[in-house]
Amino acid sequence: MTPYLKTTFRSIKDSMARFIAILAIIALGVGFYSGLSLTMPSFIKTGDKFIKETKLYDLRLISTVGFTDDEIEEISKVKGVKAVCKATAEDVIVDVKGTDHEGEAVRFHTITEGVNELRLTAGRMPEKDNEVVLDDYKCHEEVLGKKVIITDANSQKKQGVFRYKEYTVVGIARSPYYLNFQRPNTDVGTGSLMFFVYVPQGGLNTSVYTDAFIFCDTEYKTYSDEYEEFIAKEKKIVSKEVKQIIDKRSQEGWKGCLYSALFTLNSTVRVLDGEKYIKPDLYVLGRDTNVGYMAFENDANIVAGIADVFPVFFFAIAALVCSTTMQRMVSDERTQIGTMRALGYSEFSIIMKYVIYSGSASVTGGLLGYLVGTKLFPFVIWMVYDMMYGFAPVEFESDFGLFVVSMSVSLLCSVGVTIVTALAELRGMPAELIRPKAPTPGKRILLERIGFIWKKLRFTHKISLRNVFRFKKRMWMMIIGIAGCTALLITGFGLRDSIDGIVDLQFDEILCYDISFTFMDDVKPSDMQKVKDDADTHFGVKRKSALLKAVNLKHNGSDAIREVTLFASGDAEVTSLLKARTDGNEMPWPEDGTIAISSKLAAKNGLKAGDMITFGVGDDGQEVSVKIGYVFDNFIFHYAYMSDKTYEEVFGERYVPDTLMIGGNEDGSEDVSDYDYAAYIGENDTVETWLVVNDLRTQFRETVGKLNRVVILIIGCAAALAFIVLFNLNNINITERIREIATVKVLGFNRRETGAYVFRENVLLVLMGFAAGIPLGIALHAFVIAQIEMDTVTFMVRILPPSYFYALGFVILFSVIVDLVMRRKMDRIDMAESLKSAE
Amino acid sequence: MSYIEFRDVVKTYRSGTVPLNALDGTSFHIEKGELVVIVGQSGAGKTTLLNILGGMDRLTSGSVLLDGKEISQMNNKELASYRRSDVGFVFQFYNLIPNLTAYENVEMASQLVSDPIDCDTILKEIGLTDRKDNFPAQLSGGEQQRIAIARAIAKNPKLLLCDEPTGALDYQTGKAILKLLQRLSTEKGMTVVIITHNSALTAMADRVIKLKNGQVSSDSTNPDPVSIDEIEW
Repeated sequence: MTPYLKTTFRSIKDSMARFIAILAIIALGVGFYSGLSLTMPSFIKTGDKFIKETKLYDLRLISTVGFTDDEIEEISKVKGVKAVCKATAEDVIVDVKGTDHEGEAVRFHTITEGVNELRLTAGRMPEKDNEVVLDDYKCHEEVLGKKVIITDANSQKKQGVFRYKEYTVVGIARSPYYLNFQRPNTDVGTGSLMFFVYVPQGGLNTSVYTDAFIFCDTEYKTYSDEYEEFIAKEKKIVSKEVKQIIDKRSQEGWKGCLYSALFTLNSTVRVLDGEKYIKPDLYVLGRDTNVGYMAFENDANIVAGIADVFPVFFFAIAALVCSTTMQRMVSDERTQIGTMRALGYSEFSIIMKYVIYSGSASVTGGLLGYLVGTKLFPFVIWMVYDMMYGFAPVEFESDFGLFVVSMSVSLLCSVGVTIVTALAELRGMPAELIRPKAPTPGKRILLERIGFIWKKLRFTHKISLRNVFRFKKRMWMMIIGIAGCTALLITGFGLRDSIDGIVDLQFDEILCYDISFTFMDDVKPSDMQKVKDDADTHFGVKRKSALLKAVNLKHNGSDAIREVTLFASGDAEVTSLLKARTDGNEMPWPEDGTIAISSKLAAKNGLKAGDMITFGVGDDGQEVSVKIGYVFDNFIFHYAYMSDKTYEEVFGERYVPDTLMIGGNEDGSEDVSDYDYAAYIGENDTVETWLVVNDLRTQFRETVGKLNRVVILIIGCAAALAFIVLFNLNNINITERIREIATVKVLGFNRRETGAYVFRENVLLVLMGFAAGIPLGIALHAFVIAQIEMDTVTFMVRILPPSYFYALGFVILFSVIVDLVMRRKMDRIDMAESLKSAE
Repeated sequence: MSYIEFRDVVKTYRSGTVPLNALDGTSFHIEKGELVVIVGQSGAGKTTLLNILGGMDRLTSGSVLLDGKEISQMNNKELASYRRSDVGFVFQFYNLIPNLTAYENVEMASQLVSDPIDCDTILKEIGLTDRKDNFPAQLSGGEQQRIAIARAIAKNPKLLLCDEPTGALDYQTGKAILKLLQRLSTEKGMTVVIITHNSALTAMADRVIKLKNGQVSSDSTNPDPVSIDEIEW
């Protein structure tokens, strides 16, 4: 090895802390950037693999008249169709004997071949008609071999659908049809399905198969635009052809199956777009009506939203620290540079030494960051999502372009700056370089001119103050670095504030009802009231209630089409169940002739009170316009309120309520559970569906909780960054002032005083950085909120006071840790050695 | 007992594979108020001796006493307070704090002890009253060294240790510095130890200690020290 290489490697060895600091900060920057950037692609890849392997349907056909085998045969010949399989589903109450699954509502699906294939996690597939596979998400291996019993709580008619009274559980499995944890609502039992059951077609007595699932086996990536385009075309082809196939049949076969088809439709569509009633016909639905499929993409997008902003910021700080460190090193070794030049080394070979130094640190760091980051982030966030999905282990996506970009940026920050700095130093003549650079001269600072303050300061404080302003570059770097980390921390904690409260606010302060019932058409308001009074009597309570008409409207906005739920009511009680606030004041129910709309709807379309708003009604292009009376605060979904008179005026039809909303007990007690109450009323034939708000609340809390965990991950990374920045800056600070520190030690400063001599100014800089970080954090927070915004969920742009304290706490904690580490380093400074040389 | 006692001091460095005895059984004593010159070639152990005497380093075996106080047994904290109250240092490279003015550099030291010498008095003494508001970078080498001496004596130490105090200065300036040190000894009764490789300086000393390979090769008192003005080299 040549002495030239030796000096390079020894430089690395002698300044390990600095080398590692560069390496770590590059690793963190690259890791964070590439990791978060690839998290969504990795999730999509995971989903894509699972969906392709299990052959999730591309199109779902629903016919109110059902499909015959002949028709299925014909459909299989339609262009683009790889496989088609008829299917049906039946909701029923079951006991699983010997487990705690008792009296639970479940959905029996018929097993389909070539599409929607199950992935067994234990046991085997059914071989006989009385064997079933259960939902792996909700059931565990203990159910294997147990019997699923169709209980007598089911109607006779319902029991008749099932060929057997008992089914043996032979396996548990995941179904691509249920990608996430959510199980749909049902009209049996409590209204919520607990799990799914897959049974061979022969296990049910059904003669009419209302569903047919089509698998096209496309090579297009799931969720990609290409796929969307393809499926839009395919949908048209299939709709046209299947319509012809079905129309061939006489209308005879219709009647018997109308009800169950309607139900299936409702349960699918209702959850997604609030559709309450659809005319019997043929429906061709894509995957976009599958709750799990859509939720998965949405959740992956949440991460992508965050991945867009944070890493850039992260990288910027990393670059800043890295460049200053290298600059420092070149300046430190200027004597050596001079010596090498005097010896006749070329500029190029001298610069190469530093290029090798910073280059090897940043290449190693970059590689490490990329390799670890692109695995760690998807993996950890997938773990977070595991409770919701977890249908398969995460697949890691890689992106060479991204790797090249992040490596280039980090090389630019390290090697680029190194070259520029070294060139600047080399411009001096060797003789000049060999002589030590005069130490940064002391200067009077502005504060000294204010005599009455300056004179009162203690002597050591004067030194610290002067030192702070003495090294301008380091001061700025420290302030910028700390400000950046503070901003990240404040943003992280602030996101929690913004996200956390909305679910409670929405369901405690805005939607104050607990249960809503939708009645069949033509049920008289007085009968609805009677149903409610009957339940009150039964349970011995008196619950608040109101009757209203719920209408699903579409608003064709400038940027998106939004589903808006309109509540029209003339019930005086309605304001106690649907509360609203506008500009901090309680909002009255809108006056006749006006409508109140929720905040997001107004904000996204630039609407305000006094403007006109136009909604689309139904699918046939009918539109209604109405004047906006109020805009009210709202966080989840889009709502509009109006009076019954307005309804009649605007829609030109008589106001007939179809929805009963139930609130809490009038005396505030909580005697009866919402589920019992709902189930009791649900027994009535006149009730079509019901919704317990608590379910909605739970569902949103899950969504929001996910976001929160991602935020915690970001806080963790911001904290790590803050730590490295502080460490590095302090390291530089101490290294370049070893002589000074040795001098004060020799003068007899004890350990505490020596520490204070250096760290007092750090504290000052940290506080200045923190102060600068606050406005930056507020701005970043607002920006991030805008980035992760979802159309149906509105986050509050707020940062609560404790968040600032947490951020400050972290910064101080890190300062203290760094301080302790650095004190040890200071203890090791050899006074005699440091003071001897001219350096 | 003498003011300073150095008894069989051994200092072993174990930096390489072979242990090196920088001091190898060094013994001598110094009386209060003496101006002592320690001479020896490079590597004779002069600086090691000074570091130990000044409480900047520990010895391997032996003992060192100052005014009856055992220094060799002190822990880090005690050493810091020893350096603080009992010793003043003057280095070859002045080591002033760059962002403190001349006056503040002296003041910094004086604030460390309970019975300092008034800063203005010292500055007047060394003749730098009119430069007191200048920063080190604005002072010449000789002026900086004078400030360094002022800083060392501001603490009113029992002992002033000078390591090649004129090493970085030109002849005339160096002489002026030595004159100041000699004056401190004769007029103020300060115990001053000067380390140098320049044997010519031995003429100005009350006591001359010659070091060779970590041992005292000669230790003699000079009954008739001459003024620095009369020495040429």
